[in-house]
Amino acid sequence: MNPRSLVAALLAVALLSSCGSPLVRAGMSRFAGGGAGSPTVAPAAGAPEVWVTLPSRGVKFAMSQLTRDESVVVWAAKDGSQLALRNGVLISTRGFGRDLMSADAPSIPMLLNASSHSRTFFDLDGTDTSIRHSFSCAMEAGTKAADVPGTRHVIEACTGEIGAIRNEFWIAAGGNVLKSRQWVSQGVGYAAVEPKVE
Amino acid sequence: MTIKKAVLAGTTVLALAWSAGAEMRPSLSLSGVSGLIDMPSGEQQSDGMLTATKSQFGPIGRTTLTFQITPRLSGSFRYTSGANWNDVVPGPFEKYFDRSFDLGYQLAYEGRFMPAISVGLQDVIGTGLLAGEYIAATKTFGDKVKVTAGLGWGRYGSSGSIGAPFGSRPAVDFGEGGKLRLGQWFKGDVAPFAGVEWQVKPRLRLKAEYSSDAYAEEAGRRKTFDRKSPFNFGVEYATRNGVQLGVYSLYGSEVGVSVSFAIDPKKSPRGGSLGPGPLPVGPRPAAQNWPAEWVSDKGSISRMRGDAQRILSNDGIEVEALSVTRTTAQLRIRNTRLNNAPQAIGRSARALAAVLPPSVEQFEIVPMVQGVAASKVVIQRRDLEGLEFAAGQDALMLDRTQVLPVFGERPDAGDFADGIYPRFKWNVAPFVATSLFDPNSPVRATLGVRATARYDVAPGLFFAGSIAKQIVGNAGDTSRVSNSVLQHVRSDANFYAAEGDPAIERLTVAWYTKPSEDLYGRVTAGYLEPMFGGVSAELLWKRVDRPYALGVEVNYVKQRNFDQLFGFKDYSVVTGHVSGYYAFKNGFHAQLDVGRYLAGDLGATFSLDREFANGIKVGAFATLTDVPFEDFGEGSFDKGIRIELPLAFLTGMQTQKAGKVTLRPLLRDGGARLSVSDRLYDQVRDYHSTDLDAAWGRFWR
Repeated sequence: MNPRSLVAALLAVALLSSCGSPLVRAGMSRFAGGGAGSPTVAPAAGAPEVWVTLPSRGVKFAMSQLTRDESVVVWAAKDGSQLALRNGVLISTRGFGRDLMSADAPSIPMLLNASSHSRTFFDLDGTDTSIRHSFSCAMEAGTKAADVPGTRHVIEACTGEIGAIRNEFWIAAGGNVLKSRQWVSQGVGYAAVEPKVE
Repeated sequence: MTIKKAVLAGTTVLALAWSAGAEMRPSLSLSGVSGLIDMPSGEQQSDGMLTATKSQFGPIGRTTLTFQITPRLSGSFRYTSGANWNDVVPGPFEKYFDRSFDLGYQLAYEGRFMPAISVGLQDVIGTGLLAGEYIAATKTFGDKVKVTAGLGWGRYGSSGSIGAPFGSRPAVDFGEGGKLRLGQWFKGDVAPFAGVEWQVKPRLRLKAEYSSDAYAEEAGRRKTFDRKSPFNFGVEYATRNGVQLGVYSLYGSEVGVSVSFAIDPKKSPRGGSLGPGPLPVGPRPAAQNWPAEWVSDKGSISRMRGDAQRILSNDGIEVEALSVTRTTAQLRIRNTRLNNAPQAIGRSARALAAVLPPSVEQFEIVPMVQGVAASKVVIQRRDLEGLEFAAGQDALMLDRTQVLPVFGERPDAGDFADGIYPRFKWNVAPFVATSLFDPNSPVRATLGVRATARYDVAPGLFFAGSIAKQIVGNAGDTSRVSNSVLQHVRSDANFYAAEGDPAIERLTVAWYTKPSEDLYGRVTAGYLEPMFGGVSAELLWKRVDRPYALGVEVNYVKQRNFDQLFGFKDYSVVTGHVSGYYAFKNGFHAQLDVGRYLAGDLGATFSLDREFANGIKVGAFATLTDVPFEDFGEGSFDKGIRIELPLAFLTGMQTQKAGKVTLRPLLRDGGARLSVSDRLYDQVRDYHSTDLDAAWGRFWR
């Protein structure tokens, strides 16, 4: 094999693919005949907003409220990725990479009482096969209530086959989760959600 | 051999890099199999792993592709080169090239006391120069040290032999090559080998080994390098993106280098699909948004269809037709972009939930393939609403979803979307085509521009064409003239590459039809592929709820001129096959084709592919026909391996494009099949139960 041709081809592709420039990306996606797709639905103007941080990737971005029913709120980012919270507890993501496809959620009283409970998370592996992750969890009192005045800081400490996870919630007196840091998946790590205040 | 759409070869390699991560996995030898430096080990890679390794030391170069076919069984395809080949022993080539195929099998997994034990057969069907067998055991001590010891025969028993327990190794006349050499396995001298690897740091590994390979031909007889010592040493480094790099001291005289890449089909390089989230289902729209008699109001239904089309166009889903009654809606879709069928169905159902009046309870999604209905996926609206945020929603939804056959339910004329029939589409895009393993130049490549066009006349009837113009490349430079004694149905590929500039690759009219619930038909006529034109007719029997299918294809074709314009040569043939297909539960797909091939030879092709729900496919095929091995020529019969890597898996983008590689040691004229586009089985099965079930995890994506 001619090493020069191989190296040249590798370099060309590496340059094209690793380059973060939107122009190159657009060119790539056009070339590939696909793309990230465009969001089907955009949040209404003036909808409530939150900051979402993904510590493992070092990114922070805003998401706006897309829909809400009595318990579930769906938040959407500008690029169309979504995140759903049931009473403030993360139950799904869409467009984050290794997405959390669905999950059950403890109720707010369960989070506030020092109880133990089980959690089930479903994500998709690289073959698009649904993988179930079970955890057994215990609630612990946190020490960082002062981060969000007027809240209780509680920690949901869970262990499962894939290891231990710790979800943190800052819960106001009325039972609203004002801020949280919650497990998504092995590919994404944790997502922190907090209100976006002007 | 050719690589179709070889654009992706490089992307593939890069993605290999992304996906591997830094975790420790069984390391690879210079031969690209699980092993030490030049010796194999007792380990196998993790299930489904696809690795590519390139190594060079002194005159010896190897490029190896290894696939972990099952958790225990691996297969490797290798391209080896030996330089300075005629320095001492006169011969026609300065550089020797050879291809080899290995099998490895995990006899025992590592336990607390038990080492991992593997048995391996190297070069089972090649010329036999590289042939060797081994049994090796590897034990991990602590979490940083692995010790391997093994016994080798053939090449691996050529230095430091301790006897020949199973008798002498018979000489084999390999003839045209390409056949199994069962008689040699584990015969002749046996020699021990051993080695140790030490994971110094998470990314850094040291290796040392004692080799039992004498390199009798390369070092002994031809003196292409000096084998001074049986001891080899190496340092390997795993880069942050998972590429493995190694530097070695080999046989006391040579420096070696290696680089290896790995794709784990279970780990998408981007974690998963990155496209936007779906339209939330939400509460049912109020009835008063529609006039009371909306069912009979063409304007209302036309608006619903337009609204659904606007929503779905964001995901590349085209609406062909929407038929509605008070309680049921049937949506006919074309999925042009998503590489996952359940996701396209899920998004279609969500769109219907958003645009249809509350009385419509049942959604029927009918995926259309070349104008023909593949199946009918029936979803109850209340399930879509009730499970939108339920834990374990995908399995719950699958239980409540029916996949039914569809036949004879033609939508009314007024139900069709505007601009679907007739319709003209065209595209111009660059392409890279490569061909490998030409003895004079192992890698040949062409960069060019391809224009494609398609005119859909009516459902199932369309004209399609493809013209390619080369810009740069050496694919057609070869001066080699085929020595085949058969009609040169494939072996003149180099002349087609050289003279087809521009080439009309395809120019056809095709008609797809569905004569009954479980039957699909296709007739394609025109310039069917670069080397043949004529008429091709196919009939497929496939039930939506069965994992098997049966097909018949008959073609009358004439060989095209090298320039690939309108003219024909005076060779014509009737070729065709009866095909049986079976999809096993574990993702393996088998296919058997029995019939007459392009050179007029009679025989059968067996192929077996492992398919992952994300679209990654790795398989092998072999064709035996009544052409004698000596008439077939080098390789004895047609065989090869094929790999398909979806761009969506590699990039997370929404696209159905895939890199497809077919690796054949040699493309000869025996056992050659017509390469007509869009055969029925692969067109319809995406939307039948077996494939939908496997990919269903993305219904809610």
